[in-house]
Amino acid sequence: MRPPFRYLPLILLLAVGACLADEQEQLLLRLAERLSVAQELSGRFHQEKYVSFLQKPFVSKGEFSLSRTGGLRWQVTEPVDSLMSVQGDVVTLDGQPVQDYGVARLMTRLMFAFMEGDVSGLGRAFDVQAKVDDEVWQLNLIPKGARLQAAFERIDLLGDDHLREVTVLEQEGSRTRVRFLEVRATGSTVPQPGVFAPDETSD
Amino acid sequence: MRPAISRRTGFLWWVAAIFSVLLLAAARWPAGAWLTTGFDTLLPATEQTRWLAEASRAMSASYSDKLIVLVRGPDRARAEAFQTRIAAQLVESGYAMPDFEAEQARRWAALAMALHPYRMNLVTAADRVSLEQDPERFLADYRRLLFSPLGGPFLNSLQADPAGLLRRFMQSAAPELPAVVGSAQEDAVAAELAIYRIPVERLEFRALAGLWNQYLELREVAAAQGFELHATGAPLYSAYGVFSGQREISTVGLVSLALLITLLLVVLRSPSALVLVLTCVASGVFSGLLVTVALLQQIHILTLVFGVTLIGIAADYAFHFLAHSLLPGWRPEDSLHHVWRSLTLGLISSALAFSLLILLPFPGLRQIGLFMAAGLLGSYFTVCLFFPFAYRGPPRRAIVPRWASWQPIEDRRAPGLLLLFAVLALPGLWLLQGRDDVRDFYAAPPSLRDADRVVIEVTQRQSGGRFFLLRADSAEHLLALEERLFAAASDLRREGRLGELYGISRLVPSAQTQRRNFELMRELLSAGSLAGHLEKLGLSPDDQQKILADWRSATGEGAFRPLDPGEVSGLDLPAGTGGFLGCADAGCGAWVNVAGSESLSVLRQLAESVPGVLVVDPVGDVNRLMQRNRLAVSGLLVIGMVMAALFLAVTGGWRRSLRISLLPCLACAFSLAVVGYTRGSYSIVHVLALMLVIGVSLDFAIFRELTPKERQSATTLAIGLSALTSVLAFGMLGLSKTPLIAGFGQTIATGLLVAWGLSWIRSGPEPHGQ
Repeated sequence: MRPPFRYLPLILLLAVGACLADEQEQLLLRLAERLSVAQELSGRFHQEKYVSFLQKPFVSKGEFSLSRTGGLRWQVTEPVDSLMSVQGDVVTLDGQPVQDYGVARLMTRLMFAFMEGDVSGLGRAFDVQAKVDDEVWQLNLIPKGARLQAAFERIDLLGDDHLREVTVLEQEGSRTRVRFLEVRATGSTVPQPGVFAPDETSD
Repeated sequence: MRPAISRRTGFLWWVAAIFSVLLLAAARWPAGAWLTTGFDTLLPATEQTRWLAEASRAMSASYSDKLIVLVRGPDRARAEAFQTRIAAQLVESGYAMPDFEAEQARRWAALAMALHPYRMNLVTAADRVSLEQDPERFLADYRRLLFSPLGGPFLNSLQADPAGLLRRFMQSAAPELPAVVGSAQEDAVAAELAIYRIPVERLEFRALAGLWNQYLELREVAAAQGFELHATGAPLYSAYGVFSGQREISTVGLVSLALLITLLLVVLRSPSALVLVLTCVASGVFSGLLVTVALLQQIHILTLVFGVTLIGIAADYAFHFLAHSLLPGWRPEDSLHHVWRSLTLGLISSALAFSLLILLPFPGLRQIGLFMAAGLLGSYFTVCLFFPFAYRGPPRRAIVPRWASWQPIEDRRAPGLLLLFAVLALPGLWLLQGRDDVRDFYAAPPSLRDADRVVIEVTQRQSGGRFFLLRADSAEHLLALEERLFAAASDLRREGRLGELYGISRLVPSAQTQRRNFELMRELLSAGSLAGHLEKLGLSPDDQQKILADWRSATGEGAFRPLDPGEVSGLDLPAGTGGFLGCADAGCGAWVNVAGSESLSVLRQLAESVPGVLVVDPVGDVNRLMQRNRLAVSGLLVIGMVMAALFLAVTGGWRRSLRISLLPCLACAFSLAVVGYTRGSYSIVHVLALMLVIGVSLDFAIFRELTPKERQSATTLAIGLSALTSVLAFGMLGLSKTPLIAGFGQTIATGLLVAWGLSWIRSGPEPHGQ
């Protein structure tokens, strides 16, 4: 039989941490509980870009894959064929290195954060508003730094055990919505134990 | 011989002299900052023409207020967050402009608005080639970009810029430092780079030391959180200079003062003598400071450090005065009688030597020359006019120490000893080679040197400070010249021997090129390529028509109007753009920034292939000037010594002149020889130090020569005190972390030590008095 107070210090520590953690961190921690962790992610995407001065949105479709070893591959198949690849800090479009201005790397970082269930860093770069329930979660990210603020006003994210939809509201009134479809996760899918995750060994 | 004025009159003259200096300072004191820290203010202006001066100023302004901070760590998000924290702290403490990025964004927006009417004329050279070769392929590639995640910013300007040409044109106009960069090495270390602009008021002397303290504090915090923090940039080097300069001034000044006080209390046993010596020193320092700032409008912190060294020399005059007061029979009313002539000869010879520096076109040397000459004059007047009035004599128990009564070596051994000194010096002098590199003067702590290396490694960029200067008889010819330079550079760039060049033609092509671009845009419309592109983008027919109508109107008959560089240079341009210097009677000028670490030979090869282009290598130019000035100061040294010898020959005969001159000459030779033995090379700093050695050792020799045998003990005491305080004070400078100051201090300390030793050797008949 395990000593009954074996985990008491840990529980106390967590309780103190819970008192100190602010609401934003708690929400992110709850979100982390909901996410499934994967080594690799792949699927299809459907992107709509609404530009204020044009009547029709720009629509593109294609496939994506994300892994630590392969980075992000974003293959547009409609209406044109193009492949954007982000490996570390190198961004290429159809095999040619391109100047990124931060867009592709930010996108990759967000996708990695949700794939790996580590969203704690979001609070450092964004003011986070979150709504988490049993089925789905919703995040609104408002950039803190001037650099991000200059690029966009807000990012809305929607998901369940994976990230399902991203909407970027830009400063000029334009809006981009990306939906992730038929998402397939490979590798470990054990839920990420957050600070408040029930410790299965404690009882 | 004795001065023909009473003690009271002398005092009144001294007060009048003080008022004169104060009046001069009040009348000519600069309104702005008078204490400078930038190393460039010490250096001579290398420009031969107006355009070179303008370009040097523009080049200097492009980096003089920038602070580059790199944070490295295992986690990118945390590195970015830490960089955000650094930004907040720097902004809060006033060391970074709060809205630098927003200001840059505003500038880009204003530039875009200014360029918009000319958008049909503005195409990058690479895009023009692609469009001329295969417009359909160019537009297809652009559509692929638009539908990728990277196309967002381009889509937002699609209506005004449907082929993305203007946006790419503007992006190519400035060197783009990566906002977030990383290193693929070392287990995917994440790096976050930011550039901060420091407000001009925080670049002043008093504020800069605070920047260094902030830097040290941030490094500590970063290390505690598992990051490396590397920072570089001209302001940080200046901040370190101020920090170390302040520390060294206080250390050297305090130690020198402490030594003086201890020595004087031990030897003279008189608080009033101590006060007099300090008055002599203070009057020297303040005369030097006030006169230098009043006449030259500024003084560099390094010149002030040198000025602190006056503490050792200015005190010499007081030592001679006070040492003679210890001899039996001394009376206040005759106090100047035994020292006045020697003091005057010493002052004239030293001030003469330092005054010669004022003639050189080297701001740092002129400041030092004026500071020393004015400071010595101030101390001399204090001793001659104020001391006789204020000093009532030593306490009764104060006597000349026994060691001061030892007689100099003056038998037949003397010539042999002098010859031995000369022989010992010869191999060292033989080893000496001139070395003139301004970077040798600059002390940078390891953290800054590492930061430079890391930032260059991460950004793959290094600025050698070199640039091209272009001149032509009109703005159009100037732009065409720059375009020829860029075209000639393309081969070298393809070979990887040259980085990007940035100049005004990146924003304003020549009218000829603008016309060519304009025609290309018309062709894009008339051939239907643009219409096809818009259709393939999936735009609605209405949207297509709106864009085509706008394009048609902008490329219609009579619509061509070339953009003039004057229209752009009137704007507040974003950092890194521009380069147009303007037009005047002599024509027009521009400078081109070289964003790489290209070798000088590559740049020269390029410049030679395009007549009208000149490579400017500021560091190389300064080094060449330093070499010329080293040779000039060496010449002045010889001229000064010859003039002093002639002056002494006229006043006391050539044999006496020879005997006196031998001491400073041997002291200089031996001091230089030690530099030869220890370093192998010498620079202008060592030659400058020799001027001081000459000045002080001349005093030694003059007093030794002119003082009657029965009063030699006072001279021996004064020389001993002078040598001891000077050698210790300059020895302290020799420990400075700034190589410039250390070399200066070591050379003087060695020279004066040798001069003191040589002052014990007499090669002629015994002194016959004044």
